Amino acid sequence: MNSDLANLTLALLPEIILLVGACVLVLIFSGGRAAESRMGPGWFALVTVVAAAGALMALPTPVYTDGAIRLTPIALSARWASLLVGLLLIAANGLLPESRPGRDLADRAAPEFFMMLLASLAGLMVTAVANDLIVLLLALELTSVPTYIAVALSRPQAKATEAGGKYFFLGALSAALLLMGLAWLYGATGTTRLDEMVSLPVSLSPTALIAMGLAVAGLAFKIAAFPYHVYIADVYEGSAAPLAGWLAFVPKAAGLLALGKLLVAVGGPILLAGGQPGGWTTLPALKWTVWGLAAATMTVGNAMALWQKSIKRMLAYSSVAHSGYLLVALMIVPVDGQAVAPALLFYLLAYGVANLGAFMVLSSIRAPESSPSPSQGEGRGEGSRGDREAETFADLAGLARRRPALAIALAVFGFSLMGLPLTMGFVGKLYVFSAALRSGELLGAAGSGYTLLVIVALVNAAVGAGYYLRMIAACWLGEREGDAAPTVERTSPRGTVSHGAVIAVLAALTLAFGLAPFPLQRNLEEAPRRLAPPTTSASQCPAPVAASVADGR
Amino acid sequence: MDATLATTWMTSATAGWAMLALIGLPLLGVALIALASIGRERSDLPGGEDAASGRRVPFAIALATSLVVLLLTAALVAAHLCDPKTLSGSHEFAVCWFVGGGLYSSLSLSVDGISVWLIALTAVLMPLALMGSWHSIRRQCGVYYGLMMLLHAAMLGVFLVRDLLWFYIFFEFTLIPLFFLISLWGGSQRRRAAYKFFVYTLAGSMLTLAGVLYLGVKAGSFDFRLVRLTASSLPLREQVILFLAFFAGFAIKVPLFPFHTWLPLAHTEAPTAGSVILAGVLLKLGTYGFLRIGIDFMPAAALAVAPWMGGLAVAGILYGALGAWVQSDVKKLVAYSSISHLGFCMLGLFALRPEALTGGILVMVNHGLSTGALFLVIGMIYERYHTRQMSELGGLARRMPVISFFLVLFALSSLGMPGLNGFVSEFLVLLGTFVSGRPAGGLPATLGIGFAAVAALGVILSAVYLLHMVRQVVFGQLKEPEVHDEPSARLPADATGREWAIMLPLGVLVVLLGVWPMPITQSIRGPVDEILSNVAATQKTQPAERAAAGAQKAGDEEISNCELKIENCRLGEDGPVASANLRFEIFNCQFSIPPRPAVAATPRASRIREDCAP
Repeated sequence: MNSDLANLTLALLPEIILLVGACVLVLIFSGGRAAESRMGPGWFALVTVVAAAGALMALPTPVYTDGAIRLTPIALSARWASLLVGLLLIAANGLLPESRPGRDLADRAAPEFFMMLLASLAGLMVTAVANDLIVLLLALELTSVPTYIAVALSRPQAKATEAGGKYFFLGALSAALLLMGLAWLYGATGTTRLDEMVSLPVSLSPTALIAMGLAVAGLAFKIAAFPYHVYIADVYEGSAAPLAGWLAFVPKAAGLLALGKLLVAVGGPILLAGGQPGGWTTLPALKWTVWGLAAATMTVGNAMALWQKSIKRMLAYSSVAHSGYLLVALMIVPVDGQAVAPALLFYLLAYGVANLGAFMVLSSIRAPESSPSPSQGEGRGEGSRGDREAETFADLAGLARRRPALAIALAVFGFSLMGLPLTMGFVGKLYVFSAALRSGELLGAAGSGYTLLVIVALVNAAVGAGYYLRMIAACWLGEREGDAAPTVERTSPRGTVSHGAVIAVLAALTLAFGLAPFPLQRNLEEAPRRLAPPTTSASQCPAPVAASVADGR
Repeated sequence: MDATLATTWMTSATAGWAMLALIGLPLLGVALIALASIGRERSDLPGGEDAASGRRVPFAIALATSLVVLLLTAALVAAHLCDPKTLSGSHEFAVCWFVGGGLYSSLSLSVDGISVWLIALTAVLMPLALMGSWHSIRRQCGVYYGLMMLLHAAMLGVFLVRDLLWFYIFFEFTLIPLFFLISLWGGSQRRRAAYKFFVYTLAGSMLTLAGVLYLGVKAGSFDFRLVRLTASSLPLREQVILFLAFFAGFAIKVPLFPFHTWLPLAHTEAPTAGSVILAGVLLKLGTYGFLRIGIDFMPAAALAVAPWMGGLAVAGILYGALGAWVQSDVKKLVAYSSISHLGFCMLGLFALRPEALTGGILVMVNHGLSTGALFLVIGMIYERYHTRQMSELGGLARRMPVISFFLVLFALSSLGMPGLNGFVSEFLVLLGTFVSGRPAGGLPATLGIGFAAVAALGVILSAVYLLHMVRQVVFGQLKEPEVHDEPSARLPADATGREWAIMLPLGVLVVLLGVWPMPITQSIRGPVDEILSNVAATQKTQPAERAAAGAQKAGDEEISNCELKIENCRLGEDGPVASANLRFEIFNCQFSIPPRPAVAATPRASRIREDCAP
């Protein structure tokens, strides 16, 4: 009992560090002293994430299978990926004065803001290791609820509060749907353990079907899949740009991981022994649901993105399109019967990095107040600074001339999101789509539709190129009339430097893993080899950590 | 370059490094230009005033790099002419660059009788295009020459690689530099032109990517040899669908008749060097793709669609010629003539006869030279008068005899005057198309006299519109528009030394290839015969027998290659690729076990794959 608890603590140490860090952060920084320590909460959050990463690295590769928590190989990779991007996201949100939560209000709210981010990140990581319906639900809510608050805190504007409210109400609805689905699932299977469900006979009773329908609906909200994507443009537009980068990654990754887990739990392990195809991809109801969800999501997302005048809304809808590609990745038959394939994680990383980069660049360009903003209405709630975040394509005009480095970075991110060669985005698409084609071939008769889905995805990628190119073209080709050029804010050189550093790191990652994807691929794909997962029986006793050191690393 | 000297150095061991250097040198040039312009960036930014020294450094670096590439290419050509086998081996770099989902890709390079001439074309045109930019490019020179070097690397890469994935990567990557070249230094409609060019081309090549991935997944590798073996044994229906997927990307790039709408705009709006490279080399990526992948990998499909392709090609020949006839803008005229000439190339490729195929490949080279040259000369005229309207120009022979002489020479070469290079290729294409109406040498009838007769009309029309242009611009009453522009006033009326240096080599090549095309036609012949024998093999009665015959021919080579590849993956047991082999095993063990229907059709091929699986 005692050692069990110790094991559990050890296994969840990174998450625990994050949550404790979040609490300590609020305790230290809330109060009157915040005004002097503007960067304080951000740096503290950063250090917390680094500490969590350190814990994850220093810990012996654990083989902990309590039941409610299970450290599968893919969970390990997913935690690494979340921490890596989480680090960048916190850095993006924390280190720059421009995006500091609210210019006037923030000094009071900053500690809470970063507490929310840390909690949300912890939620994502727990989602990766959850093996129980209740833990899964809690983890998802731990991921989502803080983001509702963070959106409202992110800018001292009515728009942000409005976005937070919208996000909260729809999020609550989706949580209710998901909870209902999970309850039905319990009713259908009689267990809350995901791995026990796997071993149940593979068939979809009507009850299980209803359960999955509700759960997919609830999770579709988290990943912003059609038709639950409608909130996304308003929310992204309302929140500060770096936080939008957060919203496009953290809840989405959690939703995808959860969806993968549920599908595998209901449909059984995907690749049975001897290469016999099995799992949920052979159940037409589930397969075609995900298929349709993927196709509709990417098509609608791209079509909507093409229409937008505001870059933030465009990026929001394009993130819907990327959800569609990620759903394709979910359909891949992964090695070792994992819930999600390494290709999905690779794509998530590529997308998260490039998307955050694009939002970061946007947040560092200020457009003069005088130029019309498409979304702004009567200018309610805008800051009194006489400028605002770049929003329209016209706001980017002439960027290449004034700040060439930023323009080059934005081009790199745009090409990566587009999926052009020698960027990480291209390798991600290559990885996902080739693996999907391969899966279609492996599944034989059950694999119908995969090729078509890949073709749909590639046609969509071509459409996507259209609007990303508009973004890139705007800063290289556009010329603004007169002198009303985007003014570069240089109020805080220190902030600008660290801001630039984050953008540089993001761009470097995008290019480096685009040129040499192999190291990352190796880490993602070899995770299953590094620790022998107890895939066979769920009731296997948790192996002592000490023993796992020997064979694990 | 002395041939014996070249062959002493260029052995099959060093050839691989030479090929890698061809791609790497321009990238090195990019790095140098970036380093050189970092210090200058500040002063260069506002408006990019004409600072000669700011122009000179990137220009010199780019030119020097491209000249080194040219020397290296000359060595490769010499080595190839002495013994084609020296270069035909496959050289692998970045082994296991992408190893995911059971796929394998590495940067594998090789040169054969077809690609060597296209590499040479690229290497010849690039320094000339750079020299042609000296006068007209005055803003952001570092960026400009850097982009040109990126483009150079990507184009050479396309012709060098023997890996489908890398082929696609280079093919696609050419879009990025050219997009910026057109959109930043182009004419008045440059934004629309660049945008249209980019989106149109990308849309097509996304379907090509689908084809690339499908073939890669089927073959378990992107290596040309394995992919070819797999693809050519697929059933006809599947081959045709795949062919159409590749068609989408290549036909837009070529551009084949109904997909050409981006081209006139892009050509007209691009800066001179952009037009030269676009017409001279980039369009050939499409035809080269059709040849290397469409015909060679999917021979049955190529036969099946040959009449359709021939029809589109002939339509393009006529449409391009008629379109060129009515243009008033000289550059646009040449752009439309490109559509017509590329139609000849496609006609030659899909006549599927040795003469026609040789002619088609020769059209790629010759069109690159003469159209590139025409664009350069038109650029020189434009630099002086800032107009390209034929109605505003006239009688230039009096004002600038040298430039006029070369304009006439290149126009004659382009219209297929006997004794100049264009004639040889067009004649071969027409000859091959004429005879392709009857089965010969195991090949069935493909196009025939009807196609050739209509295409011959295109030859006549090309004489009409080019001579019309020449009469307007070069002869008759002297007409010069008023020019007030400051920099152009500094140019002398006739050719400067720099312009001589651009036109003379091209003029020499145009004549040389017209009177002595033997080296090229001879070295093309080997690969062409190989491709056509594959096509002929598809005509064997039984599919199984056909597949066996195909596999028999290629089989032994494939096995050894495959073993070599596995060996390569093992090489790095302790190096950074130590785990490649491991993962290779994972995928082969787990994923190769279920029988794959496509492979089952070819007993020989499936055995090969088993051999490959460790």
